Amino acid sequence: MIAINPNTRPARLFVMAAFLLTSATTAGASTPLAGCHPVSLEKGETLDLTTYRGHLLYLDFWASWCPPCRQSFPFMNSLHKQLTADGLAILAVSLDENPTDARAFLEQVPAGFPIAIDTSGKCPELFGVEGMPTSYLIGRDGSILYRHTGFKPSDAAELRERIVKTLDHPE
Amino acid sequence: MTRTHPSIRSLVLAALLLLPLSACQRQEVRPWERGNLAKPVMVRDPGAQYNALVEHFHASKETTSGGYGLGAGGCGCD
Repeated sequence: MIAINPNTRPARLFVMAAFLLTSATTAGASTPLAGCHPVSLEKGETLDLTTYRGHLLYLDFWASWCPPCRQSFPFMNSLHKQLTADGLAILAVSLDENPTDARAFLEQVPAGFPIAIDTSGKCPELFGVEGMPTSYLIGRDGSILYRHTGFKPSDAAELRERIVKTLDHPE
Repeated sequence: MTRTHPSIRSLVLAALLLLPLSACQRQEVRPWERGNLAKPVMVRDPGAQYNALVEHFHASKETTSGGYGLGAGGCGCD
């Protein structure tokens, strides 16, 4: 039988490592915008979301396999058409693991606004996405003003009203 | 090697044995990781409509009350 003395250095290191292993997973970031770097689906370039500062940003996380996401695209298209001139920017970030799935989805459900993809899952982790789709209204100063989880067509009116109100009366 | 108390030794051994289980703590599927689970092949009942029909017939033939899951001859006496 091997005798292990818990007071030895290796034993203490071992306990410390075990503790770190269990606690390291809860770490989060305070500035999700700065840490999130999705890739533009069209151009393939890595986006820096902090460049949206100064705009009201409607940031949407979606996936090709998510039926409510499909329903949210006509709404976002109409937002894009009607409110871009008023200073609203829209970015829809696909969380598909495979960009081909996102492209196939967009062939069926065309989008007039910019689309990006984050295959790593880092962005939703930073933003604390709890359901699909989740959209964030991000103020001109980069702060999160509003979060909307899920989407059904009946949510559209309230969301639009909130966006228009924020555009009219900047935070 | 220093002699240690048997209970400490067994405690450390138990901890060593249980430590690998900590790998299971992050098995949770995040909301954005359900792509594979959403595939048609992952559906528990791939023919929901057909299955509902079969269950309906089964219930009406096999039982008089209680629907699917209760066994009886259909005479209402058992």
